[in-house]
This record gives sequence, structure tokens and C-alpha cells, in this order.
Amino acid sequence: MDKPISYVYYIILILNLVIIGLLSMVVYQTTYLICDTDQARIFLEQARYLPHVPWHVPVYAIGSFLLLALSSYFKRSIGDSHALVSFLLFVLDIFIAFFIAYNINFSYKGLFLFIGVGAFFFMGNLRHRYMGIILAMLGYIFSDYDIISVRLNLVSLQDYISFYSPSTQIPLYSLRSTLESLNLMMVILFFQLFIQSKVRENKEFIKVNNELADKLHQLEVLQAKLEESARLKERNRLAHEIHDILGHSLTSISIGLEACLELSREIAGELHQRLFKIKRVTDNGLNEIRRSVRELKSDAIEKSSLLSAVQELINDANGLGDRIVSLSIHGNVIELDEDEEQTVYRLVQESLTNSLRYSGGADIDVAFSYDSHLLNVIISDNGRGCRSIQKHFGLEHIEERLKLLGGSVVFETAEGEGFKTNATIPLRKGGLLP
Amino acid sequence: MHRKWKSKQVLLFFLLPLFILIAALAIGIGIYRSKTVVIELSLYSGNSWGVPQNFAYAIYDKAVELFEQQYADKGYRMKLRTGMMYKDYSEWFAQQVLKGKEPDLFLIIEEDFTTFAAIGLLEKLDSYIKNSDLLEDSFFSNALEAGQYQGSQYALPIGIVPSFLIYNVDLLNSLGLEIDLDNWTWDQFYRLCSKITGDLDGDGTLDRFAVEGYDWHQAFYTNDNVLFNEKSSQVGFNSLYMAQMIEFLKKMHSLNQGMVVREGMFEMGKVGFKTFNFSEFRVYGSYPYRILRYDDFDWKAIPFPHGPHGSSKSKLYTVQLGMSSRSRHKDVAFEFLRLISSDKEFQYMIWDNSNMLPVNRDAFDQIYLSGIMQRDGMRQLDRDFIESVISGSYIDPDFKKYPVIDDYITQRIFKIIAQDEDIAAGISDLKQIINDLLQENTTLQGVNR
Repeated sequence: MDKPISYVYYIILILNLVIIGLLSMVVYQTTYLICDTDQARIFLEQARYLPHVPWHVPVYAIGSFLLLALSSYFKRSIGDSHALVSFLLFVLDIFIAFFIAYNINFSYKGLFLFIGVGAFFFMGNLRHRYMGIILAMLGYIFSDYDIISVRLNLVSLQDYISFYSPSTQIPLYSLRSTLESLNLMMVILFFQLFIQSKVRENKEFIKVNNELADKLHQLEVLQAKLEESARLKERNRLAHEIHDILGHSLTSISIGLEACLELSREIAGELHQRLFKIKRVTDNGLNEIRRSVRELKSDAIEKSSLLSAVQELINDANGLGDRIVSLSIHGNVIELDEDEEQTVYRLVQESLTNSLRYSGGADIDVAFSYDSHLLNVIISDNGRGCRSIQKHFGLEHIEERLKLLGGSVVFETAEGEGFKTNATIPLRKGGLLP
Repeated sequence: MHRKWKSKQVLLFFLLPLFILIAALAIGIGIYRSKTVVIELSLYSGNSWGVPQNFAYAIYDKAVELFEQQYADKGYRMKLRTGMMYKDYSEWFAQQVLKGKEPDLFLIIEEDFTTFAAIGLLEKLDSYIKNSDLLEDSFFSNALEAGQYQGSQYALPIGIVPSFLIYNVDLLNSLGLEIDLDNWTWDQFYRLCSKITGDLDGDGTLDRFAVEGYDWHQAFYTNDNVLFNEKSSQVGFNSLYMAQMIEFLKKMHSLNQGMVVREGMFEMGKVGFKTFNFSEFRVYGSYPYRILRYDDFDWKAIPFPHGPHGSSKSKLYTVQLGMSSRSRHKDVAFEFLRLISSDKEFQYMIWDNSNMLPVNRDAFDQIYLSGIMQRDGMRQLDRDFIESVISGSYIDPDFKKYPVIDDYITQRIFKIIAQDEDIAAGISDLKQIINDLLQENTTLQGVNR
């Protein structure tokens, strides 16, 4: 609870103590004044009811009020941990308040406002709080002298005050009503501060909630990146292993075969031919491994940006034969996240490889189109094409990776119409960057 | 967390023992109080019928002695609070009430009874009476009724003092006048009075008068009239009966030719009739006082004459004892109330220790049977007569404003008679003013402090 609210609560508490003290002392003092002026018999006649024993009034009223204060202290120290105990104490408060009101002849209702304020101040449980405020308001309504005196025989405070001359009565009444108004104003201030603090609490809650959602999203992205990086690492390791072990072995075999070929050139025609065939297969295998390893390592992107890596791929492809592979870029280039770059690179690589393999020497066109949050990549050839697409491991792999990023890929082909891969990838980073 | 625990510990270590201490103290005081029962009883000296009483508290001392004796095993004690005169008692007692220091039991002044019962100061005795062996039939019922308010018993009577008329037997005999008690009407009374009144020495001013102390009260109640309605909130008298009464008083007044019959003239043998009460009869009708007064001629008690619509009625004075609703030992206090109002042994003692008659019928019978009256040399008072006077008596209204209203009625009636006003107009005016007085609130006189 905010400090200002606590201060207002304690001001209300002290104010009520002052009012109750004042009213009970008026009753006490006036009684003795009446006796001193020999008007006791007339007072009894006028009062119509048996008055309280004078010393009971301040002692019981103030004593009970101190009990209320003690109950406040207890409720504050146990806090929300014992909601039921708090509520029971509150119900006890209501009874104590009625006892105080009885002792001061139900001349002051504001005490129940104090009790009502306590319901909000001490009880976190919403149900308890509303039950509490209803009880306090019932107390406020029914602790009225005019209502109570129908059932309970009580002298009214007015009977006491009317003993004084108007010059004393007027300040007494005005002091009383001033204090009561002050109490009312403090109660209003309390609720004003209370509502304010609640609104502030709500705002802070919403803010923290939003921050948390942001953090969670960032965490998800980070997780995805981490996974990708781990995959890349593993792949690199595998590539090294294959290169180091298999590549070395094959190189050794190839060199061995070279020697064997030299040796067998004259001796055995058949063996020489066979060895030559094996040597070719081995060399092919070595080349394939080297190519594979290069693909796996994708050193190209690691070293440079996506576009230059792609350019390198294309250059490599151009160097393979007489076909023409071209690259075109549309829109403003956006920097991609690492996983996005990897995916695009793999997409171009796989598509190029496919086109080189199956198109039958046709030209290949690679087009990058950047939109604000989107990258569209089209790889098309004007080669043989095929009647139907049989998705092998490479294509499925591309599809999966794109799906992971929330993108999509469409393969279009027909007999003699070439092959076209059309991929769209949503980008995390905004497109407004240069 | 540590701080919080510390403050709780402090609370536990300091407040808990404090609470236990307070509770133990309260229980201790409670036990002490319940063990030593002291019943306080406040008394006034003097009485409502205005006859001095020697050793005014003797009767209560006897009661206390008897009570403490009867409950010696239980150790009940009585404490008397005395010293207040009858006229100061009401205010003094009201102050005790305001301060919350009123005794458990107290004598009640007539005009305080209704107020005290209404504000709840007096404990309702119905259930106590029901649970005790107290028989309502053993009381003179009029005396019991004086302690009732709105159908409940709030006070119990101790003794009673009936009132009646006495006449100078020698004087009436000398004039050859005889009273016919079978037809004892205002008319007969007036005829007798007119014959008694006279100017003996012939100086032109009257020197022998008809009656001393007779006023509108005696006439009013003997014509079957009541002053107020049941709640004492409005006038309750019958205007016709009232008119008859004023007519009668007017006639009586004219006999005296405007002269006032001073107190003491009856004693000098110059008056035929005098209003009297039992207490006076007891004092002046016995040794040694009978030597001092009323001894020069023979005199006798008779009932009051009655009007055309009524019967003979006279005022009954009672002494009422009530219990505070705030008493801590109500059951014990009621035991004392029971003893003082209905214990036959104590009630019989009333004769020896006061000038009242006991309120208990058995004690009353015993007094007549024991010959105690003759022992005291008391002038003869016929038992049937006194019993009929008691049963035909009325009790004065017992609310606070009554004395003021009573004064007003006395003045207004005197004005009608003396100034020869129109009786009907006077009565309706009287009604109006009494109603106004009844409605009016008594107010405190403001004090500037």
C-alpha cells in the first residue's frame, strides 16, 4: 500500500479518536455540570431515558476505540496471509463500533466510515472487501440516533448539549460538525488515493506483461538460431571428417591407382583398362566428396554476405560449361538473419544443382526481389523440364526449411517448358533499412 | 521478515501478559463483589403527609436488623444512605442517578414514580414477585396499585396513611346537630356547615367556622371523577361532575364570607370539621401528644361526604420502595423488598416504629386483635371504618408535572369561585390549560460555562 494512503488512514483514525473523545467528554462533563446546578431531576424528566453512568462513557468509548486501533495493527501485521482472520477481526470491529456508538448515544455515525475504509485498507480478498463495506454501510445507516432510539432507550446527545446556553451550544455543535466533515473529506481522499494507486498498479501490470511477451518472443527466435547454429556446427564437423578421412583415403587410392596405371600400361591391357576405370570412378568420387564437403561447409556464406555467396555459386556454375547462369536483383537489398541467409543459400544451391543436372544444358536465371518484409527468389531454367515432380530429398529439405521460417515454395514445370522454383520468405528485419 | 517476527514477539511478550493481568483483575473483582453482597438503601426523613416523625429511620433500622438476621448465613449486608430531607430528596436522588451512583433500593417520592418507571430506572418487579412467595392479595390493593405503571409493578409499598374527616363532637352536640352517615352527602354536609358557621360575639365578623383543610381535592374525588386519562397525557375529568363540584365549593365558600380558616382553629374548638390523616390521628389521638392538642373536646373520625355521582373517597399516602435496574444484586435486593413489604413479623413492627399502618392485611389484623392500640391509649378508631376508608381511597397522580398542574387547578378553581366566573367557560379554559401543561416540555435552564 502506498505511503500517502497509510497516512490518510492514520489521520482518519486519529480524527475519529478525537471526535469520540470529544463527544464522550461532553457527556461526562455535562452530567456533572447538571448535578452541580441542581437540575438533575429536570434532566431525567427531559431525557426520557436512563442516561449512561458518566464515567462509563469516556472509558468504554475510548477504550473500545483503542481496541479498534489494536485490531487495525493486527490486521496490518498479518496482511493478506490470513484473509479469514482479517475478515473475522473486521466483523469484530463492527461490533466494537456499535458498542462505541451505543456509549456515545449514537451521536456519531462517521465511525462506520472509518470501519469501511479499513475494509479497503486491510482486506485484499475482493469478496471479503465487499462484504466488509456492506456491513460498514449497514452500520452507518442504522447507527442513527433517530432509528436506534425507536428500539433502544437512549438519551440523545442533544439533551446534554441543550443544557448549555446558546453561546456554548453553537461552538460545540460547530466543532462537532467540522470534525465530522473533516472525517468525511478524509474518507473521500482515502478512496481517491486508493483508486489512483489501483489504476497505477494496473498500468504497471500491463506494461510488465507486454515486456514479458516481447522477451518470450525474443527467446523463441534465439532458440531457433541456436538450433540452426548447432546444426551448422555439426555439419561442419561432419564435412571435415568426410574430407579428412574419406578424402584422404580416396586421394591415397587415386595416387596409388595412378602408380598402378603406370606400372600396368605395358603388362596387361585388360588390367590397365580396369584400373583406369577404377581411377576414373575414384577421381569422380573424390570430386563429388569435395563438392559435397564444400556444400556442407557452406564456407561461402560464412565468409561473406548472401549475395556475394550466391554470386560465387553462379560463377562456379558458369565455369562448368558453356551454359549461362545469370543473377538479377530487384528492390532494396535487406540484410537477412543468419538462418534466413542459410536457407536462401541452400535454396539457390539446390535449385542450381538440380538445373545443372537435369535441365540438359539450358540457361539458368536467378532473380532476387526484395519487398519491405519479404524476399522472393525465383530460379528458372529453359531446359527439358519434366512431366511430374518427384520430390527427392533435396526438394523436401528446401520446403521444410522454408516452412520453418514461415515462407513457402512453389515448383513449376512441364514437359519441355523448363523448371521454375519460386520461393517467398518473410523477413524479420524491416525493409526500410538501406 | 526478521523485523516482522520481532514486532510480533514484542506484541506477544508485552500485550498478552497485559491482557491476562487485566482479565485476572476483572475476574478477581467480580468474584470479590459477588461474595460480599452489600445492598444500599437510600432514605429520606420526613414524609408526604407532613406529620413529624421521631426516629424517622427506626423502622428501616428494624428492617435491616431483621434482614441481616434472616440471611446471616449468606452474609448479606445492608447500608443505609440517610440525611436527605423529603423536599430535597428528589433532586439529590436524581443526581445520584445521573452519576450512576444510585443505591440498589430507594424510597420513591410520589412525583418521581412515573418518571423513574418510564425511563427504566426502576426494575420491573413482576417476575420477582411471581418467583417468590409474595401474595398480592395480602396487600391493601390500593397501596399496591400506587406502585404500578402501565400494568406492571415497579415499587412495593411499606406502609400506608389513609385520610379522613374528623368532627368536634361536643360542638355539634351543643348545636343539636346529628350526622346521618347513611346519607352522608354534600347537601347534608352543607346544611350542617351552614348551621355551624356563625358570628358568636356579634362583632360582624365570623368566629365559628364549618370546616378546616377542606378543598377541591376532597370534593373532586368524592364525585366520581378522575383528573387525567390513563396515560396522564390529557385531561380526563367529567365536566358535568366538575361543574357540580364547583357549585358546591362556591356555596361552601360563601358561608365563610371570604374569611380563610387558618390552621389550628379546629384545635381551638371554633371549627366543626377538619381533614385529618391516620398519622395525625395516631400522634394526637394517643398519649403523650393527646394532652398537648385536641384534648379540650371530644372528636371523632368520619368519612368524607360524597357528591351526587360519587362515593366517599379520600387520599391514601403510601411509602414506596423501588429497586434500581442497574443494581448488581437484584435478587438479594428483592429479598429485602419482600421482607419490608410483606413479612408479617416486620409489618407488625411498623406500628411500634412509625405512625403508619402496615400495608400487609395480616399485620393490620394482628394490630387490631392484639390490643396494641388500647395499650398505647389511642383514641378509638373503628376497624371497619378504617378498612372502608383504605379501600375507598385514591392515590395522587404521581408524575413530575403534577404538582405544578395541581397548583394551577387550585388557583383556577379559586378564581372561578371568588370572581364568580361562568363555570362552564371556566372549566373549558381549565381543560385547555391543563392539556397544554401536559404537552409542554420541561426544559433545563441553560448555564453558560
